Amino acid sequence: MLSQSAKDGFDLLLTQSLKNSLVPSGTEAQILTLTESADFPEKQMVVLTVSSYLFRLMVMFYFSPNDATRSHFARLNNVDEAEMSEQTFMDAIAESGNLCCGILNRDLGNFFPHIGMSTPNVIDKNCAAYLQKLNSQHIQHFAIDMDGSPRFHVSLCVSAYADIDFSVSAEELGSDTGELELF
Amino acid sequence: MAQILVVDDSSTVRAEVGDFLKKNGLDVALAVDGRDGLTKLKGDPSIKLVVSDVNMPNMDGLTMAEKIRSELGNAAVNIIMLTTENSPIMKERGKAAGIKGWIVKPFKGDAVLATFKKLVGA
Repeated sequence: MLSQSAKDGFDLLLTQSLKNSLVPSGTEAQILTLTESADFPEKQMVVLTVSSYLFRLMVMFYFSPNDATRSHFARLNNVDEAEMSEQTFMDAIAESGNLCCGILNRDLGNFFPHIGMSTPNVIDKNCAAYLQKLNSQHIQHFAIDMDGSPRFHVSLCVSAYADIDFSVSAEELGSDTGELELF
Repeated sequence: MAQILVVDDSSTVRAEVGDFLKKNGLDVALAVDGRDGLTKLKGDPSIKLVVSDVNMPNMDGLTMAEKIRSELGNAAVNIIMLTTENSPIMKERGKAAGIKGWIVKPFKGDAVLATFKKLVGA
């Protein structure tokens, strides 16, 4: 029910969203599409859903609450690592997922006008083992490599309720974030 | 006494936006959701600008904007939404509530600082 073009479109939009939400300013990053699923080493994941009446997608951001991850999110948010409380650290991770899916939600809104997203939830990484139970038509895993940060993994899982076909070109992706639109 | 009230359920966003504005000479108050925002605004008549998220627990930002106009009867305070949402339907609801503008996250302070200062008379 999902065309290959649609699958590629979901992947491209998520990749772009990841670059705009998880990569600190001025940092080189490489996002790899993994051809096979693997047992990622991270311990937990932030899960968000983006849904329309035609599909539901889940994005899982894997992380381990360790010093390397803390350092990354401190750098991402321009805060002193030593001043990050546990709550602030977890909030920063959840907010990055929220921002990423917000961008994805907005971009998908160009193709699907009736669309909405969830708030972030943190769950155990072992839940990812049951992804196939969702009868999804598209599951894709990504790895994000950045200078000075640990490798992060992200999974995309799309369940379609109808035939879906759309195409996205990298050239069309623009960034209109951060600008004030006055009414 | 504050000039700007930042309303967001994310402590990360509150810190990011609040710290940026403070570093640029503005007095800032913080609220964790729409309900808290209403309380803070009611208690501080010096607030000239509310910068608020949309999706929050307890009370969302658009409902808060509507209540600022209706329940508080405050037609003067400027309200700007700072959100990942970009839905035309939501923007229309915001316009109907008299909000001044809309910013799609992520927050880029340098792009909006001059306007914020103008709105608070700084």
